[in-house]
Order: sequence, then structure tokens, then C-alpha cells
Amino acid sequence: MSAIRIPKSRQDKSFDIEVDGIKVLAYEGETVATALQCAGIKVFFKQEGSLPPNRLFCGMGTCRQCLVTIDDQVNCLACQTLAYPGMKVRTSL
Amino acid sequence: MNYPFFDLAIIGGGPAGIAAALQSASAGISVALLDEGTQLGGHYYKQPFSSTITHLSFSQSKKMAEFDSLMAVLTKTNIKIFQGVHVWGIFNKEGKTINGKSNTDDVFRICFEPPYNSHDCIEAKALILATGVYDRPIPFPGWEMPGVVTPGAVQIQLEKQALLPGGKVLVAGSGPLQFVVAAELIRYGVDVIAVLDTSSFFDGWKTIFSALGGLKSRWLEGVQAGITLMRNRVPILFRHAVFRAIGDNQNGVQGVVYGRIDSTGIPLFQTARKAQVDVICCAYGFSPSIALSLHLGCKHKYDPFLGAWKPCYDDRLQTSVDRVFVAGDVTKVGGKPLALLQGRWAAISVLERLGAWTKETAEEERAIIKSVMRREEQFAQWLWTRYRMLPGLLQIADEETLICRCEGVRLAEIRASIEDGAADLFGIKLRTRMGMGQCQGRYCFSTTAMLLASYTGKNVSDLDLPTIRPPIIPVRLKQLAADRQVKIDN
Repeated sequence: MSAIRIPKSRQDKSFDIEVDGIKVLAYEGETVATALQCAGIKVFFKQEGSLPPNRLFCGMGTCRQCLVTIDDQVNCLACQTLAYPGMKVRTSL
Repeated sequence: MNYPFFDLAIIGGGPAGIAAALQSASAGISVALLDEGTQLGGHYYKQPFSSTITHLSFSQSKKMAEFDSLMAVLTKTNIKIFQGVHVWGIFNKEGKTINGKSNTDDVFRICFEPPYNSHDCIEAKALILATGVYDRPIPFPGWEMPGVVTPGAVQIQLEKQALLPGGKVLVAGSGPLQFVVAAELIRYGVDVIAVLDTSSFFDGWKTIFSALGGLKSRWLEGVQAGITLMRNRVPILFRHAVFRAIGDNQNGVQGVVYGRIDSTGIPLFQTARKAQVDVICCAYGFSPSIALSLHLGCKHKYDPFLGAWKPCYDDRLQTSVDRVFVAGDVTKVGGKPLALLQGRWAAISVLERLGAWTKETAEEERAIIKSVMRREEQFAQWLWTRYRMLPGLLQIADEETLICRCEGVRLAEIRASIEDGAADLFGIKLRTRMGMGQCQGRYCFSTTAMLLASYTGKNVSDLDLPTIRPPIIPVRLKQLAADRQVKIDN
């Protein structure tokens, strides 16, 4: 089940980001991790080989297990990067 | 090159760092406060990532009033705040590593990224490391799956993003944080199926009165969380732990297997039970953030209660390196009240060491907070005696369980490297790549050390941590090169 935004918890400033070419809703002040989880995306990045996929774990930028590609920049922390309109996120190479 | 100079640089803007800054600035020395968050406050005073997120949780709104009053004082001082910067290395004036020795006339050069007001380095005569702690996982089969998170992560999501984990949640581990997190989730109507706790219900009752004497607020916190759980009929299962996550890496957690453990943490697999959950929220206490103190060459010791290493320090909170001090959770994991006091204590020591205060003035200031600080320290000791690391918990992992998640190193490979002759963590690291990935060993060194000790019959405290070299966090080469003004033309 997807993560849930607490009702009435944010100003109504929503926009779309693009995740693998698909539009995903985000609100101003939300991290990429929040937008992904609310869209039901649990696998943040499929790694090569036998390594497990990236996902949210520590939430504070320490474990670096939530890395995604943002606007062609690899290894961005999904839990610490704020979403902005038109941002392009990729969940695999 | 000239860098901005300060008498004191404090790294970490949580309760300890803020208290240290306020105390030292009030005595008139120049202070820099470096913090990696988007706002000051650390993990205790968490605020939403942006003002567009307007919701504050129940416990958060209470903390915010306290935080606002701290900030009101802070803004009236001359403390220079470097916000959102990650310190990646600390060197001497020549740009060389400190290696455990600082010359009296030397300064510390603190390098960070991204640049702040076009500065990427500052210099300081003294350092206070108030770097805090992070959740400590113990590997279990499937802990790498999406849906396995730490209590810290759940709390951050709630308080900085007003976000709840969906579906059914199992909260497990050791320490007080899991109860606080579980109670908070329940207040929002999240389905918490149970809270598992490694300690016995009866642990520590004999000593609780001496430990908590006078610390009424500490009583209330625990009691309130307990009442919320009981009112909502959430089972609290003592001496229980997570045995396995059910699910797969694509779809995440679908269920959990959990059961009883004995008093040393050894899993009693015959008591295993299954439950359907989407989220497993689990951590076993905390690990101090010691990357910087290791990089500086400060002496460290293994704390068997935490099951992790922490910096050694004297009664002035000074580490083995002259003019490098520590404060806050990185020393004792005593929470906010102790962190605030230790911040002041470390600042007093700095003022004394730099000669801004005489020994007598410092003694007078120390006398004011000494007794209450000792009480808080006693409470921390009581807490981590109850929630001491149980080495038997490592037997939950099977041969295929990932120990180093970043590099995909499994238990069988760790064992094979030890059979191959690896006698220390460095040997295991060389043979398996354990600890060389994105987290730089933050989540696997302690676990691997405990495994090595149990296989070889050594004491964990006799083992050494591998060397940590700068940059202590991944930094983009582009940034380093740009900061040094190195220009590469075609």
C-alpha cells in the first residue's frame, strides 16, 4: 500500500514531476522520496547485477540507499532532494 | 588563501550544537555553527522541509515552542551559521590530515560542500563535534527489501513531510524511540499490528527509581506512549524480534516472521509467528556518527551497551586530540536533555582551553549544571543497560543475509573471508569490499566486528575500526575541482 499524505497538511501547491516518463504528483516542500512513495513506487532505483534495489531506509541521508537519477545527475538522495516542477527522475540506468 | 577564521567551530546543529554555540558566544568568542540540515534543530527539533508543509504532529508542536525560544536567543548573537553544508574533511593549516595530533599553534581547516556564501572552508582554533547518532540495524533475511525502514525514517517522514506509511506496520527493535514512533502512528490511525521489544518487561525496574529520580519529564514521555499503545490494544511483545521479511525486492514487504529471543538475543525459531504487513519499522538502538572523529584520529572505544564505537573523551568532553571536543548523543545517547547540558559543558571547556575564561570561572559555570548532568547521564546509563546490545541477535541472519548492503556482501562471504585469514575488519574489507560502498561502513562495521568476534572468540573491544579517509562523505569531483578553482581547458 502507498504512503499517505496527512489530509490538509500542505498548501495546495501541487505540480507534476516525471518518473521514467510518467507524470507523478508532488506538492511544494515534498522530497522526491515522498512523491515516489505516494505514487506507490517503492523501488527507487534498480541496481545492476545482484545488488538489491535502492529504497527508503534511514530517511536522513546517512544510509544512501535511496539514490536516484535526477535530471541526468546520478546518485541523488531521494530523501533529501526537494521536488520541483518538471523534474525528471529515473529509476534505472 | 585566507579562510574565514573562528575561535570555535561546532559541527552539528542539533540540541548539543545549539547549546554549545549559545554558551560560547555569550562569553564573546567567535563561533561558527555548521549544520547539514535544511534548518537547525537536528533530529530532535524536526521541522517540515518547507513552510508549505503546514502540519505539525502532536509531539512536534510541543517541541517547537521550546525550539523557537532557543532560536530567539540565537538570532541575537553573532554566531555564524553555515546551513546545509556537509563537512567532508578537517585538516591542519598545511592541508594535511590531523592523524591524532594537533600542534598548539595550529588551526583546524574545515572543508565542506556545497559552498556557503562562496566559502567552502573555514578555519577554527577549537572544534566541538555534535554529530549525533543514527539508527542501528541488525541484519535479518530480507532487510534490504523496500518496506523495511528505521523508526528514525518513519519519524522524519511524519515530522518533515506529514507523511504516514500506508497499510499495516510492525514496529520492532530496542530503545525508547520505537515506542514513541508507534504511539505517534496510532494517533494518526495507522494500523500498527504490534511493537516488539528486545528487553524483558522486568529489566531495570530495580534501579529505575535511582535512575529517574527527579527526571519527571522522562517518566511522562514513556508512560504517555505506553498508555496510547495499551488504549489502542496494540500488543507490546517483550523479548521479541523480527526474524525475517516476507516478500521480494520488486514488490517489497508482504509480511513478517517474528518470535521470541532469549536473554542474550538468540532467536528461538520454534516460536516464530507470521503476520501480514507492508512496513517493517526496525532498529536496535543507535550508532554514534563517528566518521569525523575517526578521520581526525581521535581514540575510540567499543561501547558494549550500544554495540558500536564512540569517541573517547575526558571529564571536559575533550577527545584524545587537543582542542577537539564532543557533545550530545555521540557520547552517551542521552537524548535532548543531556545533549543541551553537554553542549554547555563542552563550550565551557573550550572557553577554558582557549583562555577566554579562567579555571575558576569555568569551575563556577560547571558547578551550576554538574549535578543535573550527572543525573541525566545516570538515566542514559540505565536506559542503555536495559536496551544493551544483545550479541545473540546476530544469529537471526542466515548465510544468504546481506551484511554490507551497499556492496552486496553476504554473511557466507564474511565468514569465508575470516576462514581465509582475515583477522580484523580491514582484512575483511580488503577481501570482500565490506564497508566500501555508498554508506562507507556506517551500517556494517559494527555488525561485522560482532560477527568476527563471535567466530574467532575475540572481544569486539580488542578490534580496531578501519581507517577513514577524506572525503568522509561522497563528494562530486566536479564540486571539489570547482571549489579549488582548478580549471581544465580542452
